[in-house]
Amino acid sequence: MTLPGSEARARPSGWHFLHLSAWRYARLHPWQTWLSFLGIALGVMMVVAVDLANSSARRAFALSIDAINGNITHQIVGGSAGVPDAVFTSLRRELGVRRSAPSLTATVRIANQELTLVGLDLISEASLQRRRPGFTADPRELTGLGYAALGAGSSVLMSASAAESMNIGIGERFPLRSDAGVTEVELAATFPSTESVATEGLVFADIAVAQSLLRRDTVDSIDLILDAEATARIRQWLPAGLTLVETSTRNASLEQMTSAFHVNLLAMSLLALLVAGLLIYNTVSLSVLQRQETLGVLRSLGVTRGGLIRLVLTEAAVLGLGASIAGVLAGLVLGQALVQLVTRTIDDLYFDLTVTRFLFAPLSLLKGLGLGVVLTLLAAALPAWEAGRSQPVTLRQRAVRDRDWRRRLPALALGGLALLAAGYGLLHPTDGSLVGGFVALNLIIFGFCLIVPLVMYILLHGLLRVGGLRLKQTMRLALRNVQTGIGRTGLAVAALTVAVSVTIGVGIMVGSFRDTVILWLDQTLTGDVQVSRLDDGAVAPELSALIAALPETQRASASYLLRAESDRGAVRVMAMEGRLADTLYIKELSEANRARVEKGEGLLVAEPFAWQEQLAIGMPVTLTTPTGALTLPVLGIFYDYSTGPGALALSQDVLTRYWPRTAPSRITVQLVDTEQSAAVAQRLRREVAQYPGSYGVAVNANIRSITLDIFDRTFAITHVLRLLAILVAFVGVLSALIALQLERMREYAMLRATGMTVREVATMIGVQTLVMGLGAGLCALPLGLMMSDILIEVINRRSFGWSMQHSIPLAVLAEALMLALGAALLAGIYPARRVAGVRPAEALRRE
Amino acid sequence: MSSEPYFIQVDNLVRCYRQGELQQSVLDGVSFGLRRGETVALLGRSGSGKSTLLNLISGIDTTDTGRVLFDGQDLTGLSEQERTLFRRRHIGFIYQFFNLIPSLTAAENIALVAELNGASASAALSRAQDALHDIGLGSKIARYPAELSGGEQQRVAIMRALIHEPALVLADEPTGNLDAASGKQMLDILAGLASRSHCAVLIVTHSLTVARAAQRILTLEQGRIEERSGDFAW
Repeated sequence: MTLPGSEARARPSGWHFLHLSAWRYARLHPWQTWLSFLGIALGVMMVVAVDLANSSARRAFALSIDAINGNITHQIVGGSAGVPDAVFTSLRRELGVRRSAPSLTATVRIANQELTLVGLDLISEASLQRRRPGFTADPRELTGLGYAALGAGSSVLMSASAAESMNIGIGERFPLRSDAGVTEVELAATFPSTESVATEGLVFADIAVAQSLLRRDTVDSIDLILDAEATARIRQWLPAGLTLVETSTRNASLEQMTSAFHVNLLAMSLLALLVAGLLIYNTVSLSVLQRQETLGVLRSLGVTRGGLIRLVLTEAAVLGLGASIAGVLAGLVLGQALVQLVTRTIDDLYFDLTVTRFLFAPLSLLKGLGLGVVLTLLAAALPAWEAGRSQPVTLRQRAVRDRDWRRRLPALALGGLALLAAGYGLLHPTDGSLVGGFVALNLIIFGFCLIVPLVMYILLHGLLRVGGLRLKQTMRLALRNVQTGIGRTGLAVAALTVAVSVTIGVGIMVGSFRDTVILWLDQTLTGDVQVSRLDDGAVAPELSALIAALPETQRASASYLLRAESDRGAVRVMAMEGRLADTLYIKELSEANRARVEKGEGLLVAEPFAWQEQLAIGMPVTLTTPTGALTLPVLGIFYDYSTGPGALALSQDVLTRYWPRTAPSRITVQLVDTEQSAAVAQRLRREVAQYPGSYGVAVNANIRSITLDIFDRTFAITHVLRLLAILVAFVGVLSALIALQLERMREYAMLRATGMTVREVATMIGVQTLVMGLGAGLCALPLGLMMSDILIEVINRRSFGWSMQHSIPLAVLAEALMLALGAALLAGIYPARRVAGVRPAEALRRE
Repeated sequence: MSSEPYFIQVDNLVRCYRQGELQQSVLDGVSFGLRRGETVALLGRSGSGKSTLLNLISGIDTTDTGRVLFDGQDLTGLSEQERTLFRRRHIGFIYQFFNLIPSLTAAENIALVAELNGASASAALSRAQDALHDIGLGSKIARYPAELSGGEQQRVAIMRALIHEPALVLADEPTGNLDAASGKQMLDILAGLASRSHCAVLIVTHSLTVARAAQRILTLEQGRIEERSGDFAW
C-alpha cells in the first residue's frame, strides 16, 4: 500500500465532475446565478463607462489644448486687457525673438455648431514652427495653405472633415456668430487632417481677420518657443501689466482643476463596484452554505481543503469573467453616453473643449475586465476559505454554525468599531489627500457593515422580548428565523445597508450642494436687472448714465471684473461699488479686517482658491497690474461656486488705482418696482444694441434659474451614476434575499407538512424579508448620513475646496427606506410562490 | 476464524471531548483488526462512539492516543492533507442518507470518485456506467439522485464507495434508511462486491439483524470494544 503524497499528488486528478456539479448547481439556482451575474455586470459596466468617459474627456482636454497651443513653451499674457499688437513687434525688433507668434482665440458658432476661432499670423507662424496635432509632419503646411488662401477679406480655413461635416464647400460664404456679432466669412481652403478629432472643432483665420471678426485691437497672447536664456531676457524686458507664463504649468493647473472631478466620478463608480463586491460575497457565501452537505461529502471522498477552495474560486472566476465581459460591453455603450455629460460638465465648469467626441481607450476595457474578475475572486475568497473548512461526513448542523456566528457577533462589532475609528482618524488631518478621504470612507463603510449584524440581532431580540406571546405565531417564527440565522441574514442586511446608504449619502450631498448654491445666488444676486459686457470690454459711460437716469431705476451700482496674472497663476479680480462685504457671501472676515478691506489694505479670496493655494488670513498675494506689481494680504474668505480661475475681491479704489484704464463691466440695477424687471430688461436690450461691443441684459430671476439649470446639468452624471448604484443595490438585495429564502425552502415545506397553511408560510416569508429590508433601511440612515457628511465635509472640500450647508432632504431618506422595503417585498414574492407549490410529503421524505 | 493476519489494525485508540469544564471519554483504549475481504459489523447504541471511531479510522478526526495501522503503516502521524489523499485512494464511504451529489447523475456520482483517483473523465464515466449495469441500474444511468428510490440511491452509493477499489469500505448505518427487503438486498450486494474486490468492510449499525449478516461482530459500549459471537443477545 502506498501512503499519500506520492501517486495521488503526482498525478493531478481531473476536475470534470466537480466542475460539472458546480455548473449544474448554478443551473439549478438560476435566480441566484443570474442576479449575481447582473450585479457584477452592472458594477463593471459603471466602472468601465466612467473610466471610458473620463479617459475620453481627458484626451479631449489634452487634444483641445494641443490643437490650439501646439508645442509652444511659453506665452506672454495680459489678463483682461490682452496683449497690444505693438508688444509683438517690439519683441521681435528689440529682442530678436524669432520663434514667436501672436494668438487670438474665441468661441464662435457656424451652422449651429460651436467652434474655436484661432487667429494666427501666417508669417510669424512659419518662423515659430509650431506643431499642432492633426497637421502633417510639415508644420508649415497650414501656413502654406494660408498664404495661398487667406489674407483677403473675411477668409477662414478649416479641416476638410470639419467643412464636410458642416456641409460647407471651398469658396462658399456663410455666417460666423461671435460675441461681437454675426459676420459673413468665406471658406478659402481646407487642409487634410491626420487626426480629424483634433482639428474638426477649429476654424482658422488670419489674426487681423480674427481681430476684425471679434472687434478686438489686441491679441490674447504671444506664443513662444524659448530656451532658458531667452526666457530670462524676456522676463527682464517685459512691459508692466504683462506676464510670461510657462504653458506646461498653465496646462497642469487646468488639468488639476478637472482631475478632482474625474476622481470623484471614478470613486462613485468604484462605490457601485464595492456594492457589487458585497453582493458577490453574499451570493458565494450562500452557495457555500447551501452546499455544505455536498462539500462535506466531497471532503470525505478525498477532495482536499485546497481542492474545495479551488472549486469555489473557479466557480466565482467563471461567473466574474462572464459577467465582466457583459459589463465591459455594456460599459462601452454607456461610456459613449456618459462622455457627453462629462465633456459638457468640463465645458461648463472649466474649459472650452474643442474636442467633444468619444475617444475609445482599449485599456479601460481591460481594466474593467480585470477589476471585475479580481473583485469577484476577492469577494469569494472568504466563502471559499469557509468551504475549505467543511468537515467531512460529520456535517455540522446548521444550529452549530448559527451558534458560531452568534458568538462571533461581538468580536465582529468590535472589529467594525476599530475600522470606524481608523476611518475617522484618517479624516482628521483637514488638509489630507483626496485618496486618503476615499480610503477613510471605505474603512467607515466596512466598519459599519461589521456592526450591522449585532445591531440587527439586538433589535430582533428586543422585538421578540417586548412582543412576546402577543405576537402572532407567524410573526414570532419570522423574527426568530431572522435572528437565529443571523450569520446569513446579518450579512445580507449589511450588504443592503451599504447599497442603500450610498443612495442616501450621494442624494444628501447633491441636495445640500444645490441648496447652498441657491443660498449663494440669493446672497450675491442683488438687484433686479444686470447689464454686463460679454467680452472683456467695459460698459459705455453713456450707457451707465442712461441706466441710472431711468425713472424705473432706484439704484444702479457698478461692478468690475477683470482677468489678471498673479504669483499664484491666473485669477479673476472683482470689485464692486459699495461695501464688498455686503455684496459677497462672506465665509470668514473679522470686524477689523472688514474695515481694512474697504480701506484697500487687503483683499478677499474665494474659498476654492484659498483651498487650492492653501491661502490663510494674512498671507500675501501679488498681482501683475498695468501699473506694476501689487502685493496685498488676504483679509477674508468668501464663498464662491462660480467656475474658472481663482477669484479675488478688492476695494473699488484699489482696482481703479492699479488698473486705471478699467471701467465697470457690469451695472446692477435695483428697480423701484421689481415687477417691471422684464419690461426694463427689454428696453435696455434695445438700448445696448446701439453701443459697440457685446452686451448681455438679464433679469436676476432668470440668471438664478439658468445657474440652477447649469448646476443640474453638471450633476446629471452624478444622478445617472446614483441611479445605476441604486440598480446595483436593488439587484444585490433581491439576489441576497431570494437566495436566503430559497435556502429555507425545505424548512418551509416541513412547516407546511406540520400543518401551516400556504398563506401562513407566505406571510412568514413576507415578514422575514420585510424585517430585513426595514433593518437595512434603518441602519442605512445613520451610515448614509455619515457618508454624506464625509462627502460634503471631506471629499468635496478636498476635491474642489467648496464647503456647503448640510441639509437633509426628507425625500432622500424616504426614497432609501422605500428602496430597501421594495426590494425586500419583491424578494419575498418568488419564495412565497414556490412555497405554494411545494408538496409537504416530498419534503418529509427528503428529511 | 481465519488465521490471516490483520490488514488494518486499530491499536488502543483513545478519544476524549471537552464539554465546558468536563472531559468526556468517548473511546477508551479501543483495539481490533480487520482482514482483507471480510465484513465486520460494529454494533453500538446511539452515542456510543461508533461515528467517532469511523472518523478516526478514516483519518477525518485525529486520536488523542493510539494508532491506526494500514498494512503496517501508521496513519496517525499524517498531516490533514495526507490523510485526505489517503482517504481518497484507499477508503470508500457508504452513509445512511446516501449523500449523493444532487447535481450529478447516478453515473456521474460514481465517476467523480474514479476521476478523483486519476482516471480520465471519459474512462471514469464508462467505468461507472458498467458498474451500474452490474447492479441492475443500467436504465438509470442518467437519473439524478432525486429521481431514484432510496434503495436505488444506496446501490449507487455502494458503487461509488467501491469504484476505485479501496482497501476499506466504511458503511455508517447503510440500511438505516431502507425497508427490510431493500436493506437485505443492499447488504448482499455489498458483501458480494467486497469479497470480489478483496476489501475489508466495516459496517456500523445498531441493528442486530444487520450485524448478523456480517462475518464478525464487534460491540462498542462505554468506550470499549468487544468481539461477539453471532448468537449473542442485544
